[in-house]
Amino acid sequence: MVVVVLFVFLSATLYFLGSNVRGIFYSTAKPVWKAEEVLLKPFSFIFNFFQTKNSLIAENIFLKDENSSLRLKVTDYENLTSENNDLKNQLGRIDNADKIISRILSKPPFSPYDTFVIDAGERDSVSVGSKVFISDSIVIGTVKSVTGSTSLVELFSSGGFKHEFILLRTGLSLTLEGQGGGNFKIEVPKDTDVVWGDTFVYPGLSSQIVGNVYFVETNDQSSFKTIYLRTPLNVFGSKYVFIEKASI
Amino acid sequence: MKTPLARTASFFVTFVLVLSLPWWVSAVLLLLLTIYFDFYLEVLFFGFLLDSLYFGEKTYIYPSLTIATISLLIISFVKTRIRT
Repeated sequence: MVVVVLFVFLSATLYFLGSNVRGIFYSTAKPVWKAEEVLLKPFSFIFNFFQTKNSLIAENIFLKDENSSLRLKVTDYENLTSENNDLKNQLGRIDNADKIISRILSKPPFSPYDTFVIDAGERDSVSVGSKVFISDSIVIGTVKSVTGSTSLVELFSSGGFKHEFILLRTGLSLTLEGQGGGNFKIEVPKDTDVVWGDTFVYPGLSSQIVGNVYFVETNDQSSFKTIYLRTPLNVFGSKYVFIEKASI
Repeated sequence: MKTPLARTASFFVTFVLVLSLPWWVSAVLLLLLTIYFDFYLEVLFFGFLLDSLYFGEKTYIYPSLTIATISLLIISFVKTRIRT
């Protein structure tokens, strides 16, 4: 009996006073999360001590090569971005979404629901529904709830989450279903034009990438094919995210 | 080992661990504590904590809290049956 009463009481508290309770718990949890990061940081590269010199040399050479090729790509990217913005300006469509950087306090696998806790809240002009980016053009989710100095971010890839996104190559609009961990799935008729490597973007003026197709599963006996997508960057490897500021 | 002091100390230690360990480790830990202690009501608080921190929906059913309640009821029932 006590258990049931407590269950009802706690559920009602969460339902009616959710944001207040969340605010109290976030302020209690924040020092623990920060201390954990400081304490674990020195041990994060502990396995590198056991690598051989040869493998480190090979990795170093590979990374140098990759770095120089990426530098060239960055130059191209900057040129194209400024050209794209100029064209939009000439057409009278200015994409002036303001973003703020925020530190991730807690993320999966610590959170069971594919959600992030970040250290920016109402005071930083973050509001419910603000888009969250992992880089300039990769959007990963939206703000689900906000307290004064923290926010809860739900990933588009959260299990069961369904949202309509645009296939960049053809402009086709399809509903992706979240599978958790930055993965998505979609089932479409076999003759739908979606191929390996295709990019899906968030509907809007600027192309905000949501995910890339990495596997297409077809079956001779089925008239549908299943398409698997994932976010281009490892969502859980990042320490910072960028949040679109609420327009005032 | 099951003194009120031990139970209080374990509550604070578990609180820190739930915040800093992956959720499945916390889940196993909470399950073990529910089995170890008699009528471990604290598990409801930890379910409540997980839902407040990470579950953004406004709904009537909160997953962690519900699972914690069901687990506590089942474990308490089984423990009572084993004793009698």
